[in-house]
Amino acid sequence: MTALFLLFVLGCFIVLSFQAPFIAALAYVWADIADPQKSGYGFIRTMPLSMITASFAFILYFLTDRKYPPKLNITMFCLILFALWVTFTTFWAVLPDAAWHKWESAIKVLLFASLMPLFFRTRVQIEAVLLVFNFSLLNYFLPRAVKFVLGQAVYNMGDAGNSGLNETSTIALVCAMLIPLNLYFAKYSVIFTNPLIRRPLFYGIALLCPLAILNTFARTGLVALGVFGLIRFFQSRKKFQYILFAFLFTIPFLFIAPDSWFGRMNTIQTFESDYSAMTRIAVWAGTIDYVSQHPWGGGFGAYRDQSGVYFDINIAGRAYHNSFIEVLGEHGYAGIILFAIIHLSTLASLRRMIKLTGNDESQLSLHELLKTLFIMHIVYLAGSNFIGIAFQSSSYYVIAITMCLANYVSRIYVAPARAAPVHAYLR
Amino acid sequence: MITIGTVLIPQLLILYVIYRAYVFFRAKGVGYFDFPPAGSPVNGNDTVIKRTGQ
Repeated sequence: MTALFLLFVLGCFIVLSFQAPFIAALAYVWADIADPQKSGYGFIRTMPLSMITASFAFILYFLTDRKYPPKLNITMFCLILFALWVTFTTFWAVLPDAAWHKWESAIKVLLFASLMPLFFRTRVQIEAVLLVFNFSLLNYFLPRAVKFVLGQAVYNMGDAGNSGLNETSTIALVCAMLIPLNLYFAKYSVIFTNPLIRRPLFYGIALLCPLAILNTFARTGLVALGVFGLIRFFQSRKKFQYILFAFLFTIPFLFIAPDSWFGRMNTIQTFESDYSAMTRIAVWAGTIDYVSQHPWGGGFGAYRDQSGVYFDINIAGRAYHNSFIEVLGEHGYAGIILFAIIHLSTLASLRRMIKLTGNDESQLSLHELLKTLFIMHIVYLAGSNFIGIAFQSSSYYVIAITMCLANYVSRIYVAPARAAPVHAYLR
Repeated sequence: MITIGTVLIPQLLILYVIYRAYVFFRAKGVGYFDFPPAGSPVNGNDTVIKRTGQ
């Protein structure tokens, strides 16, 4: 039954794509994040949905929707270069089988992110992709939040595996990223136009995020929540009211959180005596040594090739637990430079657009969206210091949407100056 | 029951999003495609729906 329902959803995507080609790209986002093959049963499990939807999106784009191609900016250029570079490093990977396996998912993420500005050019399209991204992730954190409310919080749910978005720290970080996005939609969504539906829906989802974070028992989630709170504090004009609200908002969570959760969070302060936290620091030190001997990187999964004892801990076979160290160890100095440029240019682009739209009252909702994406990206960067998610798609969607918005902003600010007709950008 | 609900709800919301995006896309109005000015009739209130049917 679940398989049939998911197939029905896929059918809806495909049927509507013939009339509105960007919906095929939305189907890819859904297939990539929600991973319906895993949620469903029967024949849908064997379908290569990501490949089907991505191929369909590109075919439709080239046949019917090839209008106003985006400008090549530094982020897009570095994304394409990074995709090429990780392919090269896979050729000389120390563990080729594992490397090619991870390359298959990484290359998909990098290439689709770099090409997303082809598909999403207008407000409704950009909002639609962010909503599909948001609701696809709901598949992962809704069960966690519901179980937490029902008093079934456990450290390791164990029923969904521990990889990708089912990994506790990863979903905790993604939930923290989604809070500002849902707060934005609660105010500014044009797809959910009725405020009686829009506000409860998105404020409700924003409330589910911290509940799901609590149910992951992941310290990364708490750090990411802290970073989010801190940014909002600095952005807030009424700082005293903000502190009061944050305090009152936190109290109920502290009452419903189980004792085991407090026990786990306390290890943040005592990281020197916590084996898990110290192992990460040892692996980071080991990777810096490893890359000095392998300056071009060891390829995907190179952590399995590392060995040695650091801080009295044997790091053989230990994962990176840091996205930057992950890229450094796997793709060397060139990889980390490209990776850093992608993230820094995204932040710089967002800062530039926030400044540009800040003085323009007619672009209030765009300005707020840019600020939201900026917070999401900072939260991701903070959390990714504790988990190896350099090729996890969520952050690349934020980067890709930033590129879409950069094209949009250049159209509304640069194009009118060149007297381009407004209707040229409608579709 | 929780599993069915947690699979069903996100997918229904996604179906609504693609339906609405499709309707907007076919409507071809300027306001539907740009970030509307603050306080304008298309700044996320019901007026958008009414215009869509045109």
